[in-house]
Amino acid sequence: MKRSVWLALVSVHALVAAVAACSAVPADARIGILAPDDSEQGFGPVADYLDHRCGSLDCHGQTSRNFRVWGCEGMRLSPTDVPQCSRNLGGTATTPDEHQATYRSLVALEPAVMSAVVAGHGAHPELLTFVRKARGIESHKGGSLITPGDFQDRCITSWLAGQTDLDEAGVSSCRSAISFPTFPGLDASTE
Amino acid sequence: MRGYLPSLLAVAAAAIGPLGCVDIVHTDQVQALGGEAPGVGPGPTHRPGQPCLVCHGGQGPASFQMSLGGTVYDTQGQSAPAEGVQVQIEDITGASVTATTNSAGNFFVPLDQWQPKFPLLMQVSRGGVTQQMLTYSSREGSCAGCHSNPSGPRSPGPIYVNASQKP
Repeated sequence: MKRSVWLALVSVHALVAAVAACSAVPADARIGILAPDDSEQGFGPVADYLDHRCGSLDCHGQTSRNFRVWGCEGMRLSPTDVPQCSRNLGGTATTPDEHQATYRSLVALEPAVMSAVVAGHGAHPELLTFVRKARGIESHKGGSLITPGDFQDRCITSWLAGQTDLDEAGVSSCRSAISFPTFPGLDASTE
Repeated sequence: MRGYLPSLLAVAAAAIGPLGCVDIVHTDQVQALGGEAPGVGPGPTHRPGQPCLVCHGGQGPASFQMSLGGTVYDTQGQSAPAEGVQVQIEDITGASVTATTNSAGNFFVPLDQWQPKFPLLMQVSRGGVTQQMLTYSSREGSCAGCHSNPSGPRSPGPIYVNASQKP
């Protein structure tokens, strides 16, 4: 092939690619995914559990983490709030805005996978990395935190399935999950 | 040029090799701590309020390793150290250890004495007054890793024995 022909072909190819790059995707294009319930009623208890179990300041209560958890037990959203839940100790309860910040962080981790899990009515939550890490199936610095079927697991998986899980007494599994982890000594001494 | 290539590669490897052993993040953390305070050399009372395990966590530069370390202050919002405070630490298995703060308010648990299984729960006590940590430590052995001064959205503030009148 002559050099001039070769150069012409390359130039045309580059021109087509440049035009396509500028015009193929509208600036306001959005990709739709199926996302789990983000309401205060549906996700609020899940967010509170995540704050308690995952959101300590030395774990996911940091902006340096991909999965970021906000709440009164860890990182606060408002610059005037401190990591303290008790009003008597100068703290404030976790706010709906913090629940939403945690929601956005969690759902944005693997949006396509999250969409698939929600589309499947939560039948396969283990497709999500955060579930596998929490269950200890995948390497996790914090170790294995939950066991399939326990209150913690039911709190998360029922949310992914679009349901509210209640125990025998009608208490939300997320509320029961707050009791984890249990320390045999110091916890008991304060009860 | 071919004759020089092995020499050039050897020089490049020698130059790059040591860099592979340097943890830049850790180096930055150590440097951020600054120098020793005037009149207080390395030892149990140095650097109160700093994250102990940055240097004592196994990456150096200190050779003495701790599993836990921190500083307790007398009163919330004030800078006077609290000496003689019992710091009780319990890990998730129920194993526990108690350390006592020194004149700088510092306490530490040597690594060869205890290697706890995280998470940890802690409380500090002195003279019948007890403050219990309301959350737990999931992985951080330096109290100041979270309890930095001042308090804010990312820190509950330094550890204290006596609460101030107005929290």
